[in-house]
Amino acid sequence: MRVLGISAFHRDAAAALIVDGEVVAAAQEERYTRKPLDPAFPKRAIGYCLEAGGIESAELDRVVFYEKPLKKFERVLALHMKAFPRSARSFSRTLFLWLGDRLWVKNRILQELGVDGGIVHFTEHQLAVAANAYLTSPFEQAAVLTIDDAGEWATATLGEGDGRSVKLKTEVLFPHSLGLLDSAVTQYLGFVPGQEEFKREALGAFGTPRYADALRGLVGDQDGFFSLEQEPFRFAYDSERLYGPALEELLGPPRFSGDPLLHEGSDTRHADVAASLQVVLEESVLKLARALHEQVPSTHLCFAGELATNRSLNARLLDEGPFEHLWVPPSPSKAGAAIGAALYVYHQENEGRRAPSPPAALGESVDDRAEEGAQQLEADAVPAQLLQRLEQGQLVAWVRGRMEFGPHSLGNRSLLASALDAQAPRNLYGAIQIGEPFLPCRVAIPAERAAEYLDLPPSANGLLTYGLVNAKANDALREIAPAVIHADGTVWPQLVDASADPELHALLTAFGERAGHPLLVHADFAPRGSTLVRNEADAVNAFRRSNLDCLFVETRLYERS
Amino acid sequence: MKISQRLACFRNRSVWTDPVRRVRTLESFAETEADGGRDLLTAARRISDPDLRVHIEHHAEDEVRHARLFRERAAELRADIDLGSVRAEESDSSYDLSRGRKGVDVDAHGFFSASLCDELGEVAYVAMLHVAEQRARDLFEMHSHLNRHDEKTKAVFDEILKDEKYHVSYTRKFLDKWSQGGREVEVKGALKDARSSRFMGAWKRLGIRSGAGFSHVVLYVLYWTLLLPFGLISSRSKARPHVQPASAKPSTSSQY
Repeated sequence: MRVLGISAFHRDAAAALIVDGEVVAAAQEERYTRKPLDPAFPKRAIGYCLEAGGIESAELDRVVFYEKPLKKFERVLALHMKAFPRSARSFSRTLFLWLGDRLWVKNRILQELGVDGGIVHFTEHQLAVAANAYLTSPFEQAAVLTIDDAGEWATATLGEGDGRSVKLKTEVLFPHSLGLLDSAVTQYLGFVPGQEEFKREALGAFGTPRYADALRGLVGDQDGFFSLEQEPFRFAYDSERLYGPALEELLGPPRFSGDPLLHEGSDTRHADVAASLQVVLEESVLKLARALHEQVPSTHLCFAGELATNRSLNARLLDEGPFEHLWVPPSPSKAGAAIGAALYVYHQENEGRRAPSPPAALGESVDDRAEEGAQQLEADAVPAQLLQRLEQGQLVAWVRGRMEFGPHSLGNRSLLASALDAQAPRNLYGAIQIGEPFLPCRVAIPAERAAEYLDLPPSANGLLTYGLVNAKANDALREIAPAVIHADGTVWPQLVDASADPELHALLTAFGERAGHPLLVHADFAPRGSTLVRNEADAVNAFRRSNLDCLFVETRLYERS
Repeated sequence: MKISQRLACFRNRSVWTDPVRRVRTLESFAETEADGGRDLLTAARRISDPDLRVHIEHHAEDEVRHARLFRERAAELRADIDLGSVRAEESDSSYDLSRGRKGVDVDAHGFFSASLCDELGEVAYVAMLHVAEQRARDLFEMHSHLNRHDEKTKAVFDEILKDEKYHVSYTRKFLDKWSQGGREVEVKGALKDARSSRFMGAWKRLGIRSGAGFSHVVLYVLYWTLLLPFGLISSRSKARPHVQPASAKPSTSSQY
């Protein structure tokens, strides 16, 4: 059975193809249009998935959209009415979008794919997110938690996965949304809501949570289920300005893009606000996890949604939460819901065991077309060349194999530098014009050597492999590679397993033998304002615009002329 | 000056009277020119005609130099009005010098996808470049005129104009050469396509903008008339509970 999953029209549109229960291809539309988190209907991503599966659209058995458009429209309309007359301006803007395309999703699918209307299905948003969390996990039974910004009505759900089925038990309804609370404060701090929550999280490492009590006052708690005071927020009826004057009264004047960022020195107000929200989010999620544990007393938790990309939160959930094992899929948010929607419908209609967790690299392979300036290397010379350049302190881009599906590259579209060089993280980001000094870099470590450098959270192997959890640096790492350690003493690690990625593992090991420690700074090969590079032409273009020293694409080497 | 240019002058006058927009417009030009330089370098790598390749490489160098000139002048003006340091997101995106590119073929920076030159072929590519450079020349002539009271900014535009004229002329030369070499129909078709894609693009943009504006007005009126009673009732209604049990048997066949 061939099932195509689609997510679109909110953020990070994507498509995924499931064949007989196995994810064979998945891609985000942004990689084709080069617009970060592009919400447009993912026709190019669909084209790739069908090509990768070797099928035509007419051969699909099901096409599943990750949301129920009419139900979501009901919520939008109801909340605009509820906010009457404050919603006047936003009403025409929002309705224009809905009447333009969002309401006619089925027609669009039929038009683009030319399939029969009977095979087009719709899952609820949170169900697709939950299915992505559980049906891609290695667990046979687990509690399932989703915390997102918004779906139809539900913003967070508690559920259970057992065998092939996922069932939601309880849901928290819009406008009570932890995801949107995060987005509102992200916007208050002058970042782009819905896109740059990771910056808010990173900024928090520099602050002290002196506004935590003020923010706690906005988040109610009823048996572990959060609720939000509505007065300080506008997101129920305005998708452009998410907070109102009441939040400014509480936290002080907001920061706008371009204003100085207060995170170091005598005034760290912005970092303090970010840190305070982090504390409040973590506390709320922990309470929700405990409520879930009462409903589903499992030792395993599958967690997805916007908040599952928050690495500090995941670390605290592992550390203090009621579950022993935590799984977060490599693409836990909107894009991943395309996989979830397709897997859900597949398992509803089919018997048999679930396929093992899909790999993260589900996208296009590097095309075999050299660009001008390429030097062809022997395949076995590549590791030695890479190693030599990293040893020399060069900033290296490395592109190989299939593109990853999800927010980050795990090694196939990567930038690498020696973590022993104190300037490497700044230089690496600087080379691709990312200038925010507070943003952390990942550090890649061979899985079996991680305990030498990190105080590892227990049972976090999957999360550490996908770089989805922060860990505390130990004394050894603090001494050897201080530049990769955040202001709060944590690190963003990515553990590399020899069986999962033998090439990167071998490189790390060889680097360790030569330099003393197998530690490489690892960043996404995504120039500022753009997305991860997709193919060789993209990579060469990005390389030429950057200040990187060299680029390896499979067995080809490009050097700065 | 043509009537269309006079109208454009009138429309763009406010850009140069507002000191902040002035800086951001120059920065936006700098960004577009720098992007253009990189696009052209990418294209040059794919051009087979060695003579054309030299011109395109030269053209790319010009674009990079223009970017520098715009950036330097913007920095001077920034300092004059104490606007602080430049930030990428500040540039004025309403200024589009995108050389007739189709939306799909450019990335987030406005770069050509590397394959566009391959897809279009050399003739169509140069035709597109020719039409775009003609537009850039007209635009810069207008901006030079609008800056006639600011000698330094005017000098930047005038300097760049010389190069733009060269770009129009070398692209014309190649199109003529191909025409005389028996490819007249292809060249005419390519020029027609390039012009119509610009015209159609402008027409579509106008249609979308006016359609969107009209729709917004209609929806706004609807809000205050048809929906007003529902709004009043709804705003006084009790809030829904914030937690509820999830549906036990969710259907996937319905959109609701």
